Amino acid sequence: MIKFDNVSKRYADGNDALSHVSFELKNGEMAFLTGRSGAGKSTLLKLIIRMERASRGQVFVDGKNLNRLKHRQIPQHRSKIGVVFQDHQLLFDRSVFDNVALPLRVGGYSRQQASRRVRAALDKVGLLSKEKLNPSTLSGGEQQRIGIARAVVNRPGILLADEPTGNLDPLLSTEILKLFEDFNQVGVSVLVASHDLGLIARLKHRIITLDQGQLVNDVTHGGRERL
Amino acid sequence: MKTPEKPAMGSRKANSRFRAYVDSHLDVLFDSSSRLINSPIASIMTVFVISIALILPALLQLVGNNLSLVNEQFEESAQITLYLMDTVTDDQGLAISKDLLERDSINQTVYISKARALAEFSANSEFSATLAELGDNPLPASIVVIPSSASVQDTRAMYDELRQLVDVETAQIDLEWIQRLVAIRAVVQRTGWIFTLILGLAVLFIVGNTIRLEIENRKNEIQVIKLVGGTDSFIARPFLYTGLLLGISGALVACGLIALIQLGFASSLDNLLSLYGTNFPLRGYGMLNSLGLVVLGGCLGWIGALVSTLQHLYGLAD
Repeated sequence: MIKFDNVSKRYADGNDALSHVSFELKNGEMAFLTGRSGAGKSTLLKLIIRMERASRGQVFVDGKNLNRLKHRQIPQHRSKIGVVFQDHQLLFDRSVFDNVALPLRVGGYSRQQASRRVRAALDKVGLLSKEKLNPSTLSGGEQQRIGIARAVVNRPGILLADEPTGNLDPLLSTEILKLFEDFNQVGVSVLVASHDLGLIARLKHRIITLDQGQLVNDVTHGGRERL
Repeated sequence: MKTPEKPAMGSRKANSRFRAYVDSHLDVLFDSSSRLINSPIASIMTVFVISIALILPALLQLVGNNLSLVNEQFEESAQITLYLMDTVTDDQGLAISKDLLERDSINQTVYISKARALAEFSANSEFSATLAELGDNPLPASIVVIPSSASVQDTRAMYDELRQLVDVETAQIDLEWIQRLVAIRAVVQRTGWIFTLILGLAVLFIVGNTIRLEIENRKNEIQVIKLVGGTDSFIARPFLYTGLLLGISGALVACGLIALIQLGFASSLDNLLSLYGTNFPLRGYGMLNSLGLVVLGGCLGWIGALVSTLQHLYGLAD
């Protein structure tokens, strides 16, 4: 589903965020991406949604080479990927419902047509009763769950998350990760970037570790290394 | 093999897609309107400035139209008077008058004999007593020719030709007035076009600047929409609607103000016209022109927004 082939990313300021990274995430697989802050986790996710372009090497998503993606093809590419951001990226000038409906509206659905799917997504994250509220009145954990509902409302094949448990207490964090596992159960490929090693070690999934832009470790559950 | 139901299902699907397309546009239109209404002072100021920019060319157009109307009035009354030689008898004069009427270019001729000229002159003049003393009638016979073409050039050409006729002593037309009016009308209309061009550009800039600020304010929202797969046209849509609404509102306000101005001027203009001895109904700005102004305003608003959007939106990162 996602394939990195010897990918390097150097930013305009000369900082090498990733160097020679290769890995593959299979269809329906779930993996954690870990490493200290600044190790390149966010850059790797940005490459997948084509917010950034690889300096060298190739990124494939669903068989498509992102280097060859034209500007006007980017929206269609992104609509196949749900992303949960660390800072939520919610819009505070509209209700919870309208935030979650956004990917559907972008895809040409009217507000009314979107409503069934929006309610289903909100129900899944346990926020159905709060659809009319403004996100700013909700707690950090609830805001994160709005972000998750928005990421999955379009039923994407891939779900990415960047530090989704960043500011949450352990109990809430476990709940959030449980949600990701649920989506993985129904066939969605999931890649979660997190530095919370203690938390992810307890879940039995593949762990990809980055250090200073290099892939240093790739273990599936049971300790079998893939490197 | 295709089953008969397939096309029906396809068309139903296409129908619902179209429905969704219209609905999503209506959603955006509603959203753009409520944004404008929610910041009333800024919106009113922008709309008012746009309306002022539209009023000036519209008023010049109005003046130009009414001058054309005045021209037509005067051109219809354009006539050539042929004063005949003293040797021409009434019978000959009538014959000439009849001959002239044969021509397609002449609508009407009136023969005025020496005797009739004297009678009319005496009736309208204080000099009747003096004339009576003269004994002999000094007034020439004349033929009043009314051309069928209302154009000034045609009338002048006819004048040049008719004055050459053997029996015509001298001929007279009064065209200077009309020519002046035509020239004034041309200046007014040309000025109107120039103002339309300059102030049209002004509207583009006003709307463009408003949209630029709007994009600046909604940068975060644009970024989020891009991240969830929003196309450029989806992102641009609300701004284009905002521009369209601003342009249309500005034009509507302009139409209202023009109506007020017309009301304010109506009585004094009537007065002026009656001083000139003419009295014809003035042409108002009218529904058709108002509709044209609204369409123009809408187009300018939309184009201004489009230019601004292209310039500022696509400069943002992917």
